Amino acid sequence: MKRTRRLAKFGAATAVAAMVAAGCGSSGGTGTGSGSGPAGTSILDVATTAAVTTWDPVKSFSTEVYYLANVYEPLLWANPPGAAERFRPGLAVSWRRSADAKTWTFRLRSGVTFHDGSPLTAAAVKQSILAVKDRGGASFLWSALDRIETPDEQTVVFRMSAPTEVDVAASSMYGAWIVAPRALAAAARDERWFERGRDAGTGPYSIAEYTPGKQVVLRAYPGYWGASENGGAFRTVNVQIAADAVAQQQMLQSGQVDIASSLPLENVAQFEHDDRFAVEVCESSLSYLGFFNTTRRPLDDPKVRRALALALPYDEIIDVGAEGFGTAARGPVPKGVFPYDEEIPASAQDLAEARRLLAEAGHPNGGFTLRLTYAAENDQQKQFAPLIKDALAKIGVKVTLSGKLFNQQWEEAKGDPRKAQDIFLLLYWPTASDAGSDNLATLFRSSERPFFNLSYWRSATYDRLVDEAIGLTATDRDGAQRLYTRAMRLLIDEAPGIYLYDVRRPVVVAKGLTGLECNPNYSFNLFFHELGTGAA
Amino acid sequence: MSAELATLPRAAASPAPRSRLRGAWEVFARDRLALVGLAIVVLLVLVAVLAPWIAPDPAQGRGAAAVAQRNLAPSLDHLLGTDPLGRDVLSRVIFGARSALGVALAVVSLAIAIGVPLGLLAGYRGGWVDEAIMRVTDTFLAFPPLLLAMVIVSLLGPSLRNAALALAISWWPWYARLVRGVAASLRERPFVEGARALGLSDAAVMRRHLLPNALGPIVVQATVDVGSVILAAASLAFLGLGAQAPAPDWGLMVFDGRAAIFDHWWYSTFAGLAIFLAVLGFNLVGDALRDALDPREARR
Amino acid sequence: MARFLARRAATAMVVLLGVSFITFMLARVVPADPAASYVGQHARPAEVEEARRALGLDRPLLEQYWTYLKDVASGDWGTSIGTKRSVLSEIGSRFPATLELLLAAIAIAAVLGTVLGVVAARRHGRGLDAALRLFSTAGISMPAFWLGLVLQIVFCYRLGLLPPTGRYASDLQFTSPVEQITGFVLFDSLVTGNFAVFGSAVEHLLLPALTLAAYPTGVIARMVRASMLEALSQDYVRAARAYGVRERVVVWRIALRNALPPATTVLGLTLAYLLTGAFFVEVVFNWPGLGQFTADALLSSDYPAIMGVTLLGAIGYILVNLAVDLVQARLDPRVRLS
Repeated sequence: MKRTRRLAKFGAATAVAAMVAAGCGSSGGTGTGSGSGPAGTSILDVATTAAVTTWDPVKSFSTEVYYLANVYEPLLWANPPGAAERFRPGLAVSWRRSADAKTWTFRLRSGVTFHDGSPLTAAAVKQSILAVKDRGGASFLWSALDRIETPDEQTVVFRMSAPTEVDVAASSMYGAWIVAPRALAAAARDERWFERGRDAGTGPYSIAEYTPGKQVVLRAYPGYWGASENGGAFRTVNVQIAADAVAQQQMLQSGQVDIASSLPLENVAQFEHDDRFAVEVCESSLSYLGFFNTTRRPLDDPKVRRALALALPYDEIIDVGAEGFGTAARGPVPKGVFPYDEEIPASAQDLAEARRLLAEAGHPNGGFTLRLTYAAENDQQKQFAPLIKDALAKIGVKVTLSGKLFNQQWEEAKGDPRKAQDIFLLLYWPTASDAGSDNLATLFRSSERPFFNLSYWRSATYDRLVDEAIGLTATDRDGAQRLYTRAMRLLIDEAPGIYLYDVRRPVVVAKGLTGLECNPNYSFNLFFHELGTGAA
Repeated sequence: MSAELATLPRAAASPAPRSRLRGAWEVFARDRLALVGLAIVVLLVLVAVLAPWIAPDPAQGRGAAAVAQRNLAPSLDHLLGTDPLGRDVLSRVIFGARSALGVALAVVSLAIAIGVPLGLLAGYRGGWVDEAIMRVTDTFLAFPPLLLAMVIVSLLGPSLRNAALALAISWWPWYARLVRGVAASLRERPFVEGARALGLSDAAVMRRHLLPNALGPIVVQATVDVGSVILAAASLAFLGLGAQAPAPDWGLMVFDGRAAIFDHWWYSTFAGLAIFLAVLGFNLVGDALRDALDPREARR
Repeated sequence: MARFLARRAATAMVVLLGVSFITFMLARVVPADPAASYVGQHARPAEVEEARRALGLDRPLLEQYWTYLKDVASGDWGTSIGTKRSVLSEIGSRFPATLELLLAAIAIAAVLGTVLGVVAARRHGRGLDAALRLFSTAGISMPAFWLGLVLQIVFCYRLGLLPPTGRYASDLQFTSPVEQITGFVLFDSLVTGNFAVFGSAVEHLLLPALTLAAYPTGVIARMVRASMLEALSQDYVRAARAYGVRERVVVWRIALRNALPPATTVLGLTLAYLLTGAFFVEVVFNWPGLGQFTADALLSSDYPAIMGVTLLGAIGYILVNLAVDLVQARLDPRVRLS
C-alpha cells in the first residue's frame, strides 16, 4: 500500500543491523544495564528506522512489518536460501498440495491462542486471508484464490483458480498474518480500530505502548504457544524509532540501545575493530538498479543503452556506494532469490566495448546529455550517483544529477514518459518471500500506465516469457527458471535498465548475543523472541 | 532651482555619501574586529571568484570522485583531508564559497527587489496602502524564521534554486519594513512636499528623494543578511532541503559528513567552520557599517 | 490596557488568518495530490476519489479554506498523513520536550548573555571587550547543527563525558518510570523525587541546551552591552558614582536595571527564532520533540502536520511578542501601552 514510504525509509536507512549483547552495550555512565537481570525478566533496547504507517496487519504493506512479525504469525515461515526445506511450520504444522498446485491443505497447530484469548481456528485463518484479498495492501498475493474451505477446526483448504505457490504467499512479509476474528470484525466496522496500537495476533509479543514516530514497547505474551521451546529471554522489548542512521549509531555507542537496525555503512569497520562486537554479513533481497527512459532518443536505441550500461564502474559503485556491502548484480533478481541465475553475466565495466557500441549507434564521441534522478534521502544513491556521472563523462556523455525526495521523483516518473527523467535510480525488493519474479514482472513488464516499470520499455517477447514463467512456477519450477533466464538475458541484451548491485547487510553482533538468523526472505526483521544471551 | 531643491535638503537629511564612506573607513580603522570581518569577507569573495585557480583540484571541487583516495586524514597532500568519494575537502570547501555567496546574493537581491518598492510605497502613500502592505509584511514575519522557507522547499522539491526562491520569499518583508520606516519619516519633510509641488510623479519622488535616504540602512541590512542567508541556506541543506549531491555546498557537506564524525571528523568539521567564518565575517562588517551610519540604530 | 489588548488581539487575528491562508494555499497548489498521498500509493482510483470527497478536496478552494478555519477553531487540526493521528495530539505530545529545551537554552542565554554584556561594557574599548564582542558575534554566527556536532565529537566521543542523544536513559522508563504530570521530564521527575531520571535528564539536556543557547547568548550579550554603555554614560550613574556608591552596585544594580528592558525585547524575539533553531538541535541530538516530527513531515510532504506546526509557530510568535510588550511596559514606565 505504501511502497514509496517503504522505499524511502529503507532507502534512507543504510541496511545494517547491529547487535550488542545485552549488558555489553552498556558502557560509561549512561549504560542501561539491560539484560543483566535473570532470563525472562530483562529488557531489550532496540533502535530502528521502522515507522508505523498502520497497525492493521491486513492492510500493512510497509515498514511496520518490523513489529508485526513479532506480534503476528503466518501459516508458514520461509527458510533462508540453501536450507534443505524451503519452508518450515508457522501456525500450520503440516501442509500438502495437489499435483496441479491448485488445492493446498494446511493442518493448523493446536493450543494456539490469540492475544485476546480466543483460540486459533480454521475460520480465523479463512477470515484473515479473505480480509487481505478484500482490502489488504498485498491483496494481489491472493488474486488467484477461488475459495477457502474449512472442513474442520484444524484444517484449511485453499482452492485456487490457477496453479499457485500458496506456500510462498502464506509465508509472505505482507498479507499473510493470521488475525483474531473479533479484531477483524472490529476493524471492518471501524477503520481506525488498530491504529491506537491494538493488536490481535498469536505471536510471542503484544504491543504494550506506542508513541508515533518515537517508541514502540513490546511485552511478551504469556500465553505464547512457543514460550517453552526456545528463546524468549527478553520479556520487554523497547524499540526506539530513529529515522536517522547517525542517531542510531550514537545510541548504540553510548549504550542507550542494545541493537540498532540501521547504521551508517561506512562505520561498520569501526565495529569490526571493536572486540565487543563481531560483524556478520547477510544476503538480502534488496537490489539497486536504474532505468533508461526508452521512449526518448537516443535511449530508444538498445545499442546506446548497452553502451551506457557497459560504461558504468560497478566495482567502484559497490566499494563506494555500498562501502563494500554489495554483490555484483546478475540482472534485476538479487542473489539467493528465485529465479536468480549464476549463468547470467554479472554487470561489469568495459569501456572499450562501450565506445565501440556508441560509435556503431552513430554517437562516436557521445555528445548528448542525460538527466538522472535519484532519491535524495537515500545515502547510498547520493554516494554513487556522482560515480555514474564521472564514468559516462569518459565516453562523452554528460549527466546532470537531480536529487529529489523519492515521492517527488516517482511522481515525475509516473507522469508523461516523454517529459520524465532519462535515468531513474531505484532500490527495490520483492513483496513476497522468495519471489524474484516480482522484480521481473513489476520492473520490466510493459503496462498501460507506468508504475515501477520506469524504463517504459515494451517488449512482447519479454512479456510472453515472464507470463508463461509465472504460470509454470507452481507446477514446473525448472521450466519456469529456464523461461526466466531467457527473459533475463533479454534484459541484459536490450538493456532497458542497469543492474547495479545486490545489497548485503552487515549485522554487527556483540559476542554473547545468540539467536540471530540471516534470512533474506525477511530482510527487514529481527525476531526478538529468538534472541537470547549466550550465558542464559 | 528644482535641482537645488532636490539635492540640498537631501544632503541635510543625512550625511553625503562621501562623508558616510569616510565614517565607515574610520570605524574600520579604529575597530580591530571590523578589520577582521572585512578580511574574512574579502578573502571569501576572492576564494569564490578564484576558485578554479586556487583549488588544489578543481574537478574534485566541482564533484568529480577519486575513489582511490577515500577518507584520508588531513595531511600535506590534502590539507583538510578527503571525503568518502575521495575528493579533496579543501577544494570542496573552496568551491562551496561560490555556492554560498551565489545563493546569498541571489536571495538578498531578490528580497530587495520585492521589499524595497513595497516599503517605499507603503511609507510614502500611507493610509490603507500602508496598512495593507504592512499587514502582509506582518503575516510573513509571523512565521517562525526559516519555517516558511522549509515548507516552501519541501513542497516545491529540494534543490538549491528552490531554496534560494523560498528564502527570498521569506526575507523580503524585512526590507519592506525597513524602507517603509525611512519613507514614512521623510514623507512630510519640506523637500519631499516641495518636490511633489513641483509636479514630480510619485514614482520619481520615491526614486529620487526617498530611496537615496534609505540606501544606508539597506546596505547595512544587506551586509548582515548575506551572512544570515548563508546560514539559512546551509541550515536548509542540512535538513536535505537545499543543494543536492554532488554540488559543493557547505551545508550539504556537514549533512553528508555527519555519519563520519566518529572516524572521519574532518569532512563536516571544516565545511561547518567555513559557514561559521563566512557568517561571522559578514556580521562583523555589518556591525561596523551600522556604527558608521548610526551608532544608535535599533537592531533586529 | 484593555484597549491595548483588544487592538493587539485584533491585529493578531488578522495575521493568523494570513498565516493560515498562506500555508493552506501552499499545501493546495503543489503538484502532489493530497488525496493520493492520504490513501497511499497502491490505492485504486476509486479510493482516491472517495478520499477526495471525504477530505473535502472536491470543493472550491475558498470553501475548503473556510472549512479548515472552522476545524482549526474547534480544535481539529487535521490528521497527520505520516502517523494517522490527530495533528494537535501529535504536537501536544511532543511540544513539552521542545519547550523544555527552549527554556533551558533561554535560561542559560539570559544569565550568560547578561554577564558577558555587562563585563564587556565595563571594559569598553579594551582587549577584553573586543574578545567578548567577538565571542558574542560568534554566537550569533554559529550554525547550531554544526556546533552540536562539534560538541558531540568532543564531549561524547573524545572525552566520553556526556551522552550524545535522547532525553534520558531509555531503560529508566521501566526501572523507575516518570509520572506524567506536565510532560516536562525535569519538572516531573524532580517533584516526584525520581532522582535517577532527573540526573539522567540533566545530563542529556546539557549539550543540546548549550548548543541552542549560542545564538541567544550572543544576541543578549550584544544588546546588554549596548544598553549598558548607554546607561553608564547617564547622569544618574555619574551621580551615584559621585556619591561614592560602590562600583559593583552602580554597575549591577543601578545601570543594569535600566539596561534590561531593551534586552527583554530581544529575548522575546529570540524565542521565536529559537523554535526553528530547536528543530536543528533536535535532529542532531535526536531529541524527541517537535523538530523531529517537523523534519519528518517536511521530507514526506505530510501537509496537515506541516500546516499544524506552522500555525503553532505563528501563534507562539504572536503571543511572545505580546508578552514582550507587556513585560516591557512593566519594566520601563516610559513605554506606554497605546
